[in-house]
Amino acid sequence: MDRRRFVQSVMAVGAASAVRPPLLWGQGADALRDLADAALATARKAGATYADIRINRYRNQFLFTRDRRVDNIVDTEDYGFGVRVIVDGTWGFASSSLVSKEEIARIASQAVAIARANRAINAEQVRLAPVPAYDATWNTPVKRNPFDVPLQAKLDLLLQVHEEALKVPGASFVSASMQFVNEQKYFASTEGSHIEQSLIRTYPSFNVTSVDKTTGRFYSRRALTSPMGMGYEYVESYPLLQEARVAAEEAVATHKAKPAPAGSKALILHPSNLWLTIHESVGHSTELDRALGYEANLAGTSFLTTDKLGTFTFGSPIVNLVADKTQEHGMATCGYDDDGVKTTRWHLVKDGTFVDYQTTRDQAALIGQSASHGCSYADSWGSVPFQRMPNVSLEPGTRDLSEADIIGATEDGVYVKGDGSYSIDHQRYNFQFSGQTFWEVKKGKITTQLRDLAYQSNTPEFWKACDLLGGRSTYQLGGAFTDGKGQPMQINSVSHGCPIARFAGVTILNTGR
Amino acid sequence: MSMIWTREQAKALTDRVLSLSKAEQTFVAVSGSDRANVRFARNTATTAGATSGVSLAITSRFGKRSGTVTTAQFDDASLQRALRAAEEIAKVSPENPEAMPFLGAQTYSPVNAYFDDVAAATPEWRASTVETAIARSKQKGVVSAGFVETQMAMQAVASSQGLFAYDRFTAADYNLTSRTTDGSGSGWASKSFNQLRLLDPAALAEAAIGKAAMAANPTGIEPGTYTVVLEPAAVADLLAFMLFSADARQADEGRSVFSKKGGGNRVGEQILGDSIRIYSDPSHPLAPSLCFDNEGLPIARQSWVEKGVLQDLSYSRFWAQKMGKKPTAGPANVIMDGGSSTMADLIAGTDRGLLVTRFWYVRPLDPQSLLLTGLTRDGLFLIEKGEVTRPVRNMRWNESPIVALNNVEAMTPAERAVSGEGIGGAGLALVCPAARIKEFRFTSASDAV
Repeated sequence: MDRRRFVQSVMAVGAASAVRPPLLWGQGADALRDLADAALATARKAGATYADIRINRYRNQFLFTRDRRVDNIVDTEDYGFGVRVIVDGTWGFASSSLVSKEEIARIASQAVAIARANRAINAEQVRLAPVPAYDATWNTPVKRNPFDVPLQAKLDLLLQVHEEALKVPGASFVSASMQFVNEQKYFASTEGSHIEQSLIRTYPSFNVTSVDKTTGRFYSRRALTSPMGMGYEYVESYPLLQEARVAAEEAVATHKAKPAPAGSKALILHPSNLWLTIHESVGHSTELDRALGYEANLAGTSFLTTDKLGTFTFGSPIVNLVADKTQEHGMATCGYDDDGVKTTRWHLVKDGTFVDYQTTRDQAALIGQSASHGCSYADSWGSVPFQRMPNVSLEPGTRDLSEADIIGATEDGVYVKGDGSYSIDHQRYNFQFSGQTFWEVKKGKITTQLRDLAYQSNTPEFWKACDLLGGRSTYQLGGAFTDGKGQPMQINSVSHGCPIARFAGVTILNTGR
Repeated sequence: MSMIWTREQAKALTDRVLSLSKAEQTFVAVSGSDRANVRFARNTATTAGATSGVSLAITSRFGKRSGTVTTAQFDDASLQRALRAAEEIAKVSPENPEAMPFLGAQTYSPVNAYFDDVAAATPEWRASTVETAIARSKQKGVVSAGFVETQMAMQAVASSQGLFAYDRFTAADYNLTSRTTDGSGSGWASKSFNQLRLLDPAALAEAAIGKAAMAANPTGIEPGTYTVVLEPAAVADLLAFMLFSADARQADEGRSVFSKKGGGNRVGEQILGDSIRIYSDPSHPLAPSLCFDNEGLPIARQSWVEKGVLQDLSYSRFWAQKMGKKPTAGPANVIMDGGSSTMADLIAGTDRGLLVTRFWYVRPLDPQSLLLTGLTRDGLFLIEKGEVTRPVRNMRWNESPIVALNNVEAMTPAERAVSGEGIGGAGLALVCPAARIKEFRFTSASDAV
């Protein structure tokens, strides 16, 4: 087990509930404002030309069930604050879980001291794009707060998933889970902003495994659910029980499925698979910090260097990729980013051409832009905010083609549903993805189930090969609940919408041995 | 205010919580850490930060019903609130038939994993480390990015059954990537130690800078099967992913590479080459670790593979009881013994092959065979007739560590290693050698530098 996780871990061995800190949340914003103003004043007095503070409370609930029993319920709370300063054009940051006026003053001074210690090795003066001062509140629109739903109702549904799946002969093991996240964030800066936000995310999932002891082979099929920026209404509206049965049937059927044909094929991707390909090949390649080399040591750089901006042919003319921090149900959707910038929507790729990046306040000027796109995010009160991915989505086609239309128009191909194995190089060129289920398409029809399939390509070639897009009716939101980046590693949740799409002449591998 | 409490401070809190509890059984965990870091990129500092935190987790239990709460407020009123909440949830929770009773008093064999030189590291020391790398990079005409971090952490667990354990550790991590200004070559180096004196930032910077120059202007090579000389960072990935899959229950249930056809697991079978020995040892001098795991189970030396034969798998307390086995604590480190060859020997013994600096984005592809996929990164070189002849473009590989560790021809002595994505850092410490491995499968080319 990761030692850091061990040290930070909660000894989660049963059902749980979090304890609300008695001091601040729930007592209105006045107490927070007083604490924030004290921090900003301390930082200014110590020599900071800019300072901000985030006082954040995080609530997480995870319910895990396996094989008809409740395995684990974890309900955690995390509370603290982080102060970020600029001193002589150099960033400094410090944070603490002890939220008191004295500690806030100490931490604000420590942030300034850290900035001073690093001034000598800073060759690039920080320049922040201007931003208006906001006094605002923003909350994820939810119909039902998942934390208000009784534990029993959640567990009953999860255990029903087991029953449904295990009705299928050959289904051996089932696990099912629900995860809920609530970020309560208070942001204040020396530029006059005071912003309070509450973000909620919900993720139901399950996994069914079929084991054939005579052959020694096993196959799994995971739910095609995605995490969402929604409340419990997502769980209530998703057909979990029906899908559990289908998943079990497909896992069992994989034992008799035809081995994947290796070679070049037309590749049809369902949104439950394509979202991850968008995430890895588009979402990360259009991050400006990567393109400029700021993430060179871990996440890597990007093939989309700044000289390509506005001219590079990223995909075929039907490819339009949009960044959107305001998208309904998006997990990266919020009112304001962690720089205090109001969120927006913009094109990354328009009609196949690469036209823009994801940016933060301290990056915009580096490519001659006067405003940030609002992509700053920190995963904790104890983390430094930096550029994180907004929701990045592929626009549907202009004609409202259905799944049947796309399959019907395909002579020889494979159809992939659900996300599976994923890997991409550090400049976001070469990638390989698998899926949950694979289907052979011949002469406009799905003919048989396949197994052991992965597809390999490189980003520009792949998107240039996009030759058919489904319409709005096929558009779905997928997403990554725990996208990692940075050092120390930070987690971001982000959604990706897309229609069903077809790509010509993609390399298919048989991964069986 | 430091969050690294003393044993006495931690015990005072856990005793207080246990005394206020009304549950049949109670388990308490206290954890705290002080971390500080500097990031740099484009030959300049980018961000620097420090974070301190301490948290308390309380699990209350009635029979096989449990409730857990976490809090960071330690006054009596807050503790009472937390305890009542945990007890309330436990009462309404379903029974978990697999819930194990909390451990009572245990005997531990602590080793020192906490070193004052890390605890004393200052912002100025971290800044000077970065300054050295930047100055050398500018001198050599490369652009570097990297990360330096020092951390201290403490952990205590206690139960109403008489358990109490306390331990602490330190960690110092440094890694950097250097790239030629034309973007055609890249090099990397990374190390993690419990002691600052073992970390040699200047040597790591030299290694990354030198590798970038060596790797400049690579040319293409056909994907296929090659003999590879893997540096320890690449071997670390194979080792880590194999261990991540070594769960006894998964194997016994027939859904693991360690499952036996027809039922049961493969313990006792020859699964790797006979030169391979893998074990965990909390007292290893390069990777000292905490003496207990998050349930309070003592972490002891544990053999995994001996002469290629699978010795054991990881047993949870429940599965161990069910199967009549010993539960496996941790592990907090993994050690793969090496051989006596030098890196030069490994290269010299290669007629045609590839020298690999590190792997990147390694992910499971097929759990049945433990097939992994990943890429090479930051220095891939062609070896011909025992000599490194030229840098080559990166490639994607699809291979199983079970296959690869059956094909080991020679190894260097083991050293502390950190994988391309940081496995082996301040978490699960890894100690492993560089290795020459035959018939390693590369499936496609990558243009990434």
